[in-house]
Amino acid sequence: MPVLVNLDVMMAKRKIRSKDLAQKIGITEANLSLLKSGKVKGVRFTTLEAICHHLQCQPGDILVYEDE
Amino acid sequence: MQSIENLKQVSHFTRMMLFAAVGIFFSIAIYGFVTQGQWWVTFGDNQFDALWLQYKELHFLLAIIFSPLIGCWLLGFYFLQRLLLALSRGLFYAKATLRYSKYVSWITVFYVCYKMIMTPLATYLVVDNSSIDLSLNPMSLIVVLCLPVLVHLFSAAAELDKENKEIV
Repeated sequence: MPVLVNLDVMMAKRKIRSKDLAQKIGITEANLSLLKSGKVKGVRFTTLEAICHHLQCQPGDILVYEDE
Repeated sequence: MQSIENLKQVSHFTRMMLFAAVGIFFSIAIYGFVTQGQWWVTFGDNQFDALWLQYKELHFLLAIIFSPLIGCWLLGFYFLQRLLLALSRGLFYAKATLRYSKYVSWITVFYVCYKMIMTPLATYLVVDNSSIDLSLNPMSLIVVLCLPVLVHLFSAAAELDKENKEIV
């Protein structure tokens, strides 16, 4: 898929664990894992907003479009 | 969330009403038979009732012809109450719920279609030199044939719900 999820990179930069982030943004660790691996069909704006808020970043830092 | 709770309550209430209606129906039937010695409930078809009363020696044949309708009542009641039970538990898009909806709709379709041909078929088999005259009720047919379509739409909605769950 041309849209890549760089969430794990941002999490590493902010030194936050999956468990902590999942708890803070209100989704399960399993869903966060799926999101990190790009195996979901979509992301809710509310989820994206919570991730950006807790990681202090922009949506573009997490989602990147790359031509195939 | 409030609306889901309401739907669950309505489903539970409807299920209880269904049991109450069936209970009242059987109570009246049995009470009439015990006190008056006759069934106060009929087959719901005057022509078939007339055949039943007129041809007492052919009760077995008429009973066989009528038996699919009894099967429809029993199966319809069973699957309808299972469907309402699933809905009252909040399983709106569960596979079982959709399966019960499909069963109820197809049983209803079969029931209405068979009821249309039952009396003419019975008359043809019982009465000599009779012809088959079908009386079609277009409104019943339209309503009944819409049921499977509605169930299909319901299934499609369930697929959408499943897809929505893949959005985090």
